[in-house]
Amino acid sequence: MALSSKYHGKVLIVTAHMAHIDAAVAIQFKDEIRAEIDDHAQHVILNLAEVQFIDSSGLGAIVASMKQLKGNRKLDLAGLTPTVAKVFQLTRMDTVFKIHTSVDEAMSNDGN
Amino acid sequence: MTATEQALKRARLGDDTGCVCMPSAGKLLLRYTSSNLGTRQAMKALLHGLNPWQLSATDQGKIQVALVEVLNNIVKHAYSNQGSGIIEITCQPFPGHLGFEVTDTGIPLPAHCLTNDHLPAVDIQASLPEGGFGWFLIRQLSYDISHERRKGKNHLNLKIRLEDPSAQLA
Repeated sequence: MALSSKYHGKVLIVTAHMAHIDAAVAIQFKDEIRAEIDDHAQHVILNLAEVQFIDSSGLGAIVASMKQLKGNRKLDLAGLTPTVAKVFQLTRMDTVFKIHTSVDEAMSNDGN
Repeated sequence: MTATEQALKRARLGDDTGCVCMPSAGKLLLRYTSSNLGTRQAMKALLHGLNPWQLSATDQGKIQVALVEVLNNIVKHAYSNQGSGIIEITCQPFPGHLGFEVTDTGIPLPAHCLTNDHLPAVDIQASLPEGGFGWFLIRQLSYDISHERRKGKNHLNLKIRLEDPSAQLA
């Protein structure tokens, strides 16, 4: 599986390079996200622009990743493709996460 | 390309997991051995098999989300991740909707799966649920859901409405 990350100012952008976050990869995805986010990252944006499909186990893995960030640390999402956005909307997880249209949009609004 | 060649081409799509999608009497039939990667391959084969119906991307996404949750539950619960059971999917296109029957020989589906309609609470961030969304998604995206246990087999039937009016159905 492929995740990459880089800092834009103080914001850590983690990009998922995969078409599916489903039951076949959910546990591995959760472990890799944990490894990718260092303790200093206060603000993380998970870029899902390459992800075409997510199921409930993938959704659970992203929720678990957010819950691991304690205190004021936060995890936002960016670049949801239509089917992925639909899953977040149906489960009302779109009310839990801050969702940016794209990483570029997130960065231009963030001031970082 | 003849109908048989087309059928074989579709069948080959799923060769690596033993998933075969065969058009037969206006229906699509898929059969594969229970596994998470098999489910992914089965969805690819099913959507490919539905190509002639020219479904919109929205409808394809809806089918994929609902069916994958059904299939995940079979892999995880009916077959307890043993990876040895056969899963069969029959898809029948109608004007305006698709009818699905999914069968397995695993443990019986608990009755509450079809009736319990609540969404896990998502208001308290610290205790956000990491699961329990599967059946909720299935019920949101499909209708006329029924389950029967016959001769050691689970038969789950459901319909998915096609919202795109431009979809031309046979």
